[in-house]
Amino acid sequence: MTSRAQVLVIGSGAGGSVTALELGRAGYDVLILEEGNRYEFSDYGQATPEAMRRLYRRRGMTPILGKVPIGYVEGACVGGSTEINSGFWHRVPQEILLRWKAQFDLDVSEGELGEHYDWAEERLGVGLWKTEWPKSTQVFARGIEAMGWSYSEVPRAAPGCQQSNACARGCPTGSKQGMSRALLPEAESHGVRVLAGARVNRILERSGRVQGVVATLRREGRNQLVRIDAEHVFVCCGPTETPALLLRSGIRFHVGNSLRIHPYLKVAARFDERIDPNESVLPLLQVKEFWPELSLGGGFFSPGQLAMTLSENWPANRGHMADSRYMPQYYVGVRGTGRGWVRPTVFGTEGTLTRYELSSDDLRNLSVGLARLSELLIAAGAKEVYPSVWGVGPIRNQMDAVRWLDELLPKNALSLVTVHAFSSCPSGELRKKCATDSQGRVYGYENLYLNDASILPDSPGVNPQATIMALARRNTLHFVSAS
Amino acid sequence: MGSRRWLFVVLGLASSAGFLWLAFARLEFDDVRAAFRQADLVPWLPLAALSYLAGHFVRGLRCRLLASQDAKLTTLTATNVVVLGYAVNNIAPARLGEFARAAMLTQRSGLPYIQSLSLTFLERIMDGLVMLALLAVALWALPVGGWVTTTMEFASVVFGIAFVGVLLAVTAGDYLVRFAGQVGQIGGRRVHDRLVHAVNQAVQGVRYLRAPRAALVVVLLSGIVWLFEAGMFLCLLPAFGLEPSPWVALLAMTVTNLGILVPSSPGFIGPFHFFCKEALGVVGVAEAVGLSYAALVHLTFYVPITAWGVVILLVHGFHLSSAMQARAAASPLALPDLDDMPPPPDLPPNPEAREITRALCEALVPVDSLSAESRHEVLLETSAFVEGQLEALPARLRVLYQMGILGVRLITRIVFVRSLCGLPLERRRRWVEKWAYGSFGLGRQLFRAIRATALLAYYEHPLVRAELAATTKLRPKEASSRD
Ligand SMILES: Cc1cc2nc3c(=O)[nH]c(=O)nc-3n(C[C@H](O)[C@H](O)[C@H](O)COP(=O)(O)OP(=O)(O)OC[C@H]3O[C@@H](n4cnc5c(N)ncnc54)[C@H](O)[C@@H]3O)c2cc1C
Repeated sequence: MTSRAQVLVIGSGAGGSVTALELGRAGYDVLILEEGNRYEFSDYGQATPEAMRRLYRRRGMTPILGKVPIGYVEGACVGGSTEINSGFWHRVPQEILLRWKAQFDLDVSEGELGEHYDWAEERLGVGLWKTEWPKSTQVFARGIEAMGWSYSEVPRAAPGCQQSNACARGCPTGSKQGMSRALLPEAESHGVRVLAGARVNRILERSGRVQGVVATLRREGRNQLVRIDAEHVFVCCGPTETPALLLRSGIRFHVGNSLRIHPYLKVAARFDERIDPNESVLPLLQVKEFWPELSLGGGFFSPGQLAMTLSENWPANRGHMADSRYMPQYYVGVRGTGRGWVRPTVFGTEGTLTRYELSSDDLRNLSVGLARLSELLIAAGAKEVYPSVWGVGPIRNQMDAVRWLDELLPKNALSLVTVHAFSSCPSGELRKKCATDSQGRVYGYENLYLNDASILPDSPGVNPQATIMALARRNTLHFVSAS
Repeated sequence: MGSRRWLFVVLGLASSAGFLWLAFARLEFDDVRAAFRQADLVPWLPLAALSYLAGHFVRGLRCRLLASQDAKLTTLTATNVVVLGYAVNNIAPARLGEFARAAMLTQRSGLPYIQSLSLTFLERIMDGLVMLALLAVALWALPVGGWVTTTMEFASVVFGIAFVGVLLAVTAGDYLVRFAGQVGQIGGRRVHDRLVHAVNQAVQGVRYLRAPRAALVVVLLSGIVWLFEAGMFLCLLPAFGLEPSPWVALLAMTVTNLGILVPSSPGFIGPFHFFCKEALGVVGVAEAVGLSYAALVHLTFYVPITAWGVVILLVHGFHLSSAMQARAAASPLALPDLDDMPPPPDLPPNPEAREITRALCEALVPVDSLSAESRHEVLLETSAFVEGQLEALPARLRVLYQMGILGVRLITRIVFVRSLCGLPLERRRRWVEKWAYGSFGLGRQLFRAIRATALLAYYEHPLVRAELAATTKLRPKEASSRD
């Protein structure tokens, strides 16, 4: 009576694509249901407003609420957030894996994940920058060296990057390995079907067994509500939509109560020398000296983004827009030890509410981070550093900078952003904390799995895509061998 | 909400208002007050409430039995399911309670939603039939005629038809499905599939009644349910000094319950009072006493069950959105031909900006040296983008934003005796900047979304970028000296 697939994969981002590919290779009949549209490279790289309309969930208007609201965006198109991310690649450090083991009894070791990282790195051509570093990276390196801190160039999943500076608008050259390029074509060659414009509203379950899903197909003229049945369902809708979908479907066990993020504070720096950040890839280095609680690195740049960073003190800052060629952007990122949650809205099937409260450690680390980053940038030759904090004027010298080692930034004046969210359905063997077992199977359900950012037990402290993909592959192969 | 549902809600509210007017039109309020003052609430009110609640436990038992072929429920869970339906009907329009109840039953039991809904429908029909029988008994015992008999005749026809439908579904389910198939074929494959699906689920819903003994038990339980409800009506008669006649209680109970089948506001306010009062009027109870009695019965009917329902909503974390979602899912679902699916259409373009958004954007973006024509184009596109972004905000924030801007507009009127949109640009700019960048934190929060998106869209516009590129040829020192 209904349309069927052997396995449904909901969402085609970092987690969903790996899952679908491995299942397809193992001979399963796989259908990916993806809410967003599918685009060609020729559609990518459009101006930011157009890219936001097409590629971002709710056009990028998905703030995380809390005493300090935090700007948050994620992708909603075939390939998910990997289509708009910058492709920075980090393996999760062993220390974090051990903490996950200790706190959640997550049954996974560094050695076990290594094989899957290798696999993903090969597929995505992950590597270091091959030619001379762009100017925004060079000045950053200069600053770090002047400070004598440890740092590393972060590998990226963007072989042959042509510096079109369009990561967040969809890479028009196809160098950045979003899933629509890196994995989905191969998955399709193994028979995986991708249905774009299909938003799953509800998972149909009965006595611990999922039977299928109800989805809205967005099609010309009208939306169609359909039911699609499956023997197994993998939910890979990302850190906010996965718990929202489960909760909407009445699946609640440790779901949506433990959202974690990496809060970021953006700063712009004005140099005397021309940097032209708009014409190069974003800065490639991360300071590791203060890791894992604190990392300093380079942010996206466009005149619009710069204006947003300067906008907290716009009347004083707007004149500097004319210096945009001299003003790269950087960030202070903290591991995020606050707590958050995700809930579907009471009415409608599209709305998702997210909340996160900064912890006092977060605030402390952001303040210290601003001090450190400003010291670094001034040592690199910056004339002024502009944090996106209302009422905090430009930092002009080391003296201004170190003030934030001892003082806390005013909480209600902060303008924070994040693109890294996770842990809303933690996985592990510790049932009193976790929504799924170590392999992503939802507790209490025999054929329902989660395989995306939501299952990371806690904040990884590094860019998460690599770990999401490695875990997703490990879990999928486990599923294949177990069945 | 779809337009049909809106119509239903508006119709319900109008009908409630109409019945309230009918109930109160010719009444002296002093008499009503006096009747209430003289009422003996103890022990009658607690007894009435107990009787009503006992009826719900029997309803729960009946629900458990009806679902027992496919699902194992405890009587308490089944009672909660039933209570939830009543409570939601008391607080939400358009009989959403029926859907909420079916949704919770699906959630708790794993039954397909349509099956849960047809169980609810079946219970309703049983209730109707039992009520007609009880009304017949009351009419036999009491010498009344006129509109009561007409109501009964009308209701008999409606429930008679429904009864035949149920009888057919119980005794000749397979034929009914086949017949639906034949009729459906006329409308093409999709109609055929949907119709067969729906009829099949409905037939499944009444399966329990196929065994005559089971059917008898269910009929008996339905009788007990309504006797308990009549108990509530009975207990409250002496509270107003009326003779506790079981026949009058039966008459009032049946007429009121048939009466509230007409569309009305949540909680049946209006029709409940009107029909209850009229039923007592037929046996010679004075209008003021009748209405006071009706109001008290309504409170007994409304308060405990609504409170219980709210507890269920909180304890089980049941979302009304699940009910709405389930209602959508209940319309027999289309069966997509997954292999022959056209791609989804492009996402909606930016909407046209409202005057207020245009006025705010104009005040927020900087002064530039663009030609008037170019500036007009940039502003048009910027404000359209901003409007789209504001519409994409989560509903809660959207409402807060609209309310906040309304407040700002009102204050503008008071301060300048002019509308915000009508303020000359320079003055508007200074005024808006006070809000957006001033020391008033709430004002800054209110303007954050609009100022950030306006600046982003402005600086990403090709005409502005071209202008910026031209002006940033200057060295920053020279540029900043222009500030
Ligand atoms: C701007 C940006 C920059 C980033 N930069 C980096 C970086 O440099 N390095 C890094 O490691 N990480 C980065 N990240 C984070 C990284 O991209 C994500 O952590 C990762 O993609 C998450 O993978 P996922 O599978 O959980 O979710 P996603 O990749 O977001 O995929 C989820 C998919 O599910 C779909 N979906 C959601 N709900 C439904 C539904 N109900 N029905 C159907 N489909 C649905 C969505 O449309 C989406 O396509 C960045 C993210 C962003 C937004």
